[in-house]
Amino acid sequence: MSLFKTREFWTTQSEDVEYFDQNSMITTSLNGDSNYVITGSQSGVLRIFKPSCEIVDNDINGFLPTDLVVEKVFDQPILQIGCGRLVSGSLVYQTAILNPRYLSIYLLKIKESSVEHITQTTFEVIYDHHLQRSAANFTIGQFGGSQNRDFICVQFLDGMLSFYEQENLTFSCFLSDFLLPSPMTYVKKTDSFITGNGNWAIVSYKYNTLSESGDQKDVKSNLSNKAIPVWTYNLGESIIDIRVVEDDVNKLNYIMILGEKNLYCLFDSGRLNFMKKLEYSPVCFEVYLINEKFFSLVVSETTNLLVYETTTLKWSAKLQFLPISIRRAFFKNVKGVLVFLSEEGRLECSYLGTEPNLFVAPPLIERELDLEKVEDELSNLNKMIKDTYGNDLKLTNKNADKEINIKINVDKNLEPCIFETNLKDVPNLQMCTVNIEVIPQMAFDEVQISLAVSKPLKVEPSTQFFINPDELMAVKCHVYLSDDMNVPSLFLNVVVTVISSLGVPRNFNKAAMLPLSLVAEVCPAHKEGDHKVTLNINQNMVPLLNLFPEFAEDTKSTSSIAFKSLSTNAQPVTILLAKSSERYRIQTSSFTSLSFVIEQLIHRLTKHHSNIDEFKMLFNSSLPSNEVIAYVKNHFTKRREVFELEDFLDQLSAQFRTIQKRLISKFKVKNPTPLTNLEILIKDTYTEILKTVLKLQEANGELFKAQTELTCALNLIGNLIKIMNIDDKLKEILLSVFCPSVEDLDSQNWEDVMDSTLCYLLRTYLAKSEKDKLRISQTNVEKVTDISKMEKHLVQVLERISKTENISLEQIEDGIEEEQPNPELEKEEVKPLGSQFGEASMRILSARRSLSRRRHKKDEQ
Amino acid sequence: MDPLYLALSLYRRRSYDKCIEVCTSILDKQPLDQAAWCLKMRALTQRVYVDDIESEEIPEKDFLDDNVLATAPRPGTSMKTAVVPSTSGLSSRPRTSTGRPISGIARPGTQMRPESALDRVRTARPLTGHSARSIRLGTAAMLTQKDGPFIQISRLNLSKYAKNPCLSKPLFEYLFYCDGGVRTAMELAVQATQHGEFKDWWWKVQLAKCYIAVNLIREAEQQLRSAIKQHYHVETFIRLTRIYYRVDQPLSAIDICKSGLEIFPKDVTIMTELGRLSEGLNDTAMSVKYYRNILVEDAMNIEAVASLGMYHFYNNQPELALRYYRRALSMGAHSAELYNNLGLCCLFSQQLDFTIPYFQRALDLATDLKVKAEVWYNLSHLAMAAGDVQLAVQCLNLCLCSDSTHAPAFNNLAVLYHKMGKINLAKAYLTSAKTLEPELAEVHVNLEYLQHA
Repeated sequence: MSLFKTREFWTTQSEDVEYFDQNSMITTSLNGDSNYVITGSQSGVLRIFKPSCEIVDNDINGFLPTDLVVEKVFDQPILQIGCGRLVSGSLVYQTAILNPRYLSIYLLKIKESSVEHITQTTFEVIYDHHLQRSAANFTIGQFGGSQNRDFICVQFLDGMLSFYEQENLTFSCFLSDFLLPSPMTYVKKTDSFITGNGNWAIVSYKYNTLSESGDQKDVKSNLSNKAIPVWTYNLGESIIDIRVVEDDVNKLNYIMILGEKNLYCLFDSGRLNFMKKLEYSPVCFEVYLINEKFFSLVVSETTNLLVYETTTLKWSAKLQFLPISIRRAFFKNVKGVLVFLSEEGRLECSYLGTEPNLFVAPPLIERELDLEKVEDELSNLNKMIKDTYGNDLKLTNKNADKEINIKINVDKNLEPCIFETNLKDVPNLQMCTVNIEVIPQMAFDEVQISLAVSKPLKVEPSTQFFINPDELMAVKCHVYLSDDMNVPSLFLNVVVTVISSLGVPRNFNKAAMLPLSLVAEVCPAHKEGDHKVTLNINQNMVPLLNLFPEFAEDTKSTSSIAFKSLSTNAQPVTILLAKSSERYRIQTSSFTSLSFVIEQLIHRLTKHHSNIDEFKMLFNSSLPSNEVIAYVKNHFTKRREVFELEDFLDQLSAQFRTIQKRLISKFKVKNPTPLTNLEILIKDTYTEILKTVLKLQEANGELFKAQTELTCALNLIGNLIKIMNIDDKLKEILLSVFCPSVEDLDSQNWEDVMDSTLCYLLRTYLAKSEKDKLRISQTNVEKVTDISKMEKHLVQVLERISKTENISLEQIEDGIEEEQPNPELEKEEVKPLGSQFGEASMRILSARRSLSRRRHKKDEQ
Repeated sequence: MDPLYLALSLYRRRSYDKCIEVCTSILDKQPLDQAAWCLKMRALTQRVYVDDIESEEIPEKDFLDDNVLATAPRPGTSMKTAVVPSTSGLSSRPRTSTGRPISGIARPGTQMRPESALDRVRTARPLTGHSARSIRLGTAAMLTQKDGPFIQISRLNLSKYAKNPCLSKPLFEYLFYCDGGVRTAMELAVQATQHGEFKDWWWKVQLAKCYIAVNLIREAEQQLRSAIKQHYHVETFIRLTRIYYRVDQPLSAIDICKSGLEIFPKDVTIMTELGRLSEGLNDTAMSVKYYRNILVEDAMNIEAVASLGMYHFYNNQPELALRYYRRALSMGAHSAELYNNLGLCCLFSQQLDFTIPYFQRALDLATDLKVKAEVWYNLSHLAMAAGDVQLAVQCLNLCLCSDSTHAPAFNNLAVLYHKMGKINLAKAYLTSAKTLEPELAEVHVNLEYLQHA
């Protein structure tokens, strides 16, 4: 991120595929008045540039072919270039070129010709040293205080240093703690070499010490004799580059180090001058001193050039590319040019442009407001709101067949069950195969087919998921009885949930009846039964064998048939035909078995008479309330047991955690203290937890049984309500109340929901008097603590249903309309839950008072 | 060219993958080449390295965490009990659910609101102190190695490597960053410190890093203190500050920073830390002072620019805030959040002609649904300022479309509906706002008002 951008005025790019590194470029004036730029690639191409930089019309000219002074190809890669007075007896600057196995010294000679601007250039080798090992880099300097002569120190990949005093190899030595070669520099004032070692520290070696430890003749013999550094500075990171800055005024030398995370400046004595934590990863840097102020140019990996004066950021500019090496150069007409070299050989001279490079976001399409488009956008946004707030009506679809086709094929022939069940004593348990075919009529993204059966039945697999279905999706699954209980209902529900290609979720429902023989078998009829239900029909009787053709073989009697559920303690359910009237009588000693038989009977009768419009079944006696209440009670107590156990488990685990915490803090203490029997406590708690969990498991099983029984009872009531002579609208509402699914959530029991719906029913649709209707219906669901109240409500509802068979619907509707227009008034009338009972007792009180008053009056009379 | 030189050059040029390849081929020929082994280790580490100071995550309060010193700290001595100033002005600065002011820049540990219902559902087991990031880095590194891991950690002779000064440090970094094996790294660090006779500050800092990762805060503190005694380094000061922040001792953290500033005057990193700490302690004046100093030292510091911008915005100086945010924009920060802030500044400084284009851009750039929701939420303020209640309702609805857990939007919708006379609807919205974010004070006030009205 930066406001500014560097401006380049001179660019050239190497045409071949070449690679450069940080030592591949130097800027030097050699023997001329302005700087040369010398580059040497890893492919072995050496180029010497001398940017002419003539100022023409206030503008600097760019790269000219004549700016390239020398181009020479070496056989070996060029690792580093340097320059200095490297030939004995000569005060002329030569160029040193380091190849992996050669160190060569070249001299650049330029002869001016008589014609202007034409020069003759020669670049010839003066001498070279053959190297025994692979070289890494070198340093040039006036080692040992020599005047007007430059020596070279070559660092090898294995940590050896070789010193060349011009044409002669003086000595070689090894560095201690060396693993990988690191950048190296020479400090003239202290006559020492600074480099990084393998321990990520900066070390300084005196030239004298090195020469003492080294040996000119035999390098291999003195491997053990390693030089000892004068000082070390523990940097803690490996270094990228290292430079020396000479302050000529104060006669001080500073060492600037670019680490991987920080920029450091050390005194030549090895103390820290300043450091700066870099918030980016640096690539290369250049340092210089102006008026005793340090300026560091750091290039970051994000192609920014940052200029620091000591630690203060002075300038930051965006670069055109990521350079691997940066140098300053002084040309004839332009001073202080920044020269960048990229890895691929792009060479660029640039200056820090002061013209801000303001970030300009791509312009918005600012045309005249296109009303149609804006309208479109608005409607889109409105649609978005609508979609999110969309009502649930959208989820179900009336003309589902147009979008999806669901076929359920229930196989009448049963197979032996292959799944593991909890039924132990049933010898030949069978399962039913169900094939479902779903044919999408339009494009869907995702389709999920899920199947649901009432609880002791199980379906395997219960869901199937498809992505981007294009044709028929077939699901084959098996339904079987998994627990030793009575089945409430034999309906199989198939729910297909889809997400259409537009991202709209939908679902489709379809139900099918499972074969009766899956859960029941025929048995001898019983004449007697505790529970009796009588169904009337307004058509001629259908013989039982016609209704249950699949059991025709096993039955002898035509007037009665009996079924027995497959569970262990099942009681037979007998269906009897009345001799004179159109009645079916179903009797049994087990109430829960009634449910599926009646469901079957109703289903089959309706099916049989499906082509007769006026066919009607009727149930006109009172609904069996006592039995239902017994099951509700049972469920309630079981649920409560589970609750208590869960609470207890909660307590225990909290206790367990506390002991754990206590123990941990005890163990953490350095001087161990006695455990004070905590270990016994934790063991005890642990066993208690295990016990409770087992109990809870048992209780959950019991609860499950109670839930199933309750579901049976509710399903029976629901089926009976279906065929009662009640208004359709009311019937629908009642059916939704007696929904045969008992769910106990963590925070809400079935009773809680049921009670509030029952109260609502009692106060609205099944209200006895106008006064009841005026009272506001119960809205909030509260926890049922006293089951007897709820029982009372349930009995009332069941009684009133039987009574209100002929209730006129108009009244009800009037009631609803009266309620709606003034919802706020209602809110104010909300009474707390208990108040009705209070009122009732108030009424009793007042009744008593009036009674006693009358008595008084009588007495007086 | 010597393959080792090539590998070194590739490492320097940040072509880590190629460098690893070259090193592997060297190691195939000479399996005991320490230099190549070390270089490969470094390249593997560099490839996955992240500055772990900036990305450090302070874990949720741990269930068994007994590092916090004072359970009932005095006012002003803890982040939790920081004195909340009585704010005046156009709108008080929003706070996070824990009551801390929201910072001007998003960094780890400054989430604005509980993210979603799912995030708020905590499992029974509390989160541990070990950050998930380091684990992820480790696995990512392992995946790319086709023929098994580079180093068989279990077979590593740690005591041998701890004695080798050239290999121990790169090996530690490899273990810590690339392999993610904090325990092994710690073992190495312990042995290396012992071998170095407790003289190397670097090992102490690394040991502290390991201790922090395994949540042994006190031990980490000891190591860092001892490291500072030996050697001054900015990183050590920052790490020590973080430790005090973690044990909820902000005043000690500030002391450490100040002593750090004496050694490294005007250091941006330390001043940033001070700015953040003061902000957390509700000491806005100090925080702004530090952020200003940072800008003097480093004019490109986005965090300082953004924080100052936010300070001015909530200090009733939207014009000044606008200047800071424009500066950030011209530096190239091009994000939905920035445009959103610019739009708000323009709105409050009455430069209405710029407001809509800024918001338009913010909407165009917002891809994250949460951000989109915030932009729509802010746009609703524009509509309210213009007096267009219908538009405001629509904006808020769109906000809720993007993020259905946005409690302030529910609250504002409720207020608007109340104004329209739909009191019941208002109540319903307030209730849902309350369930989404029970800490929101406005909701409670509004509900109370409705109850009494």
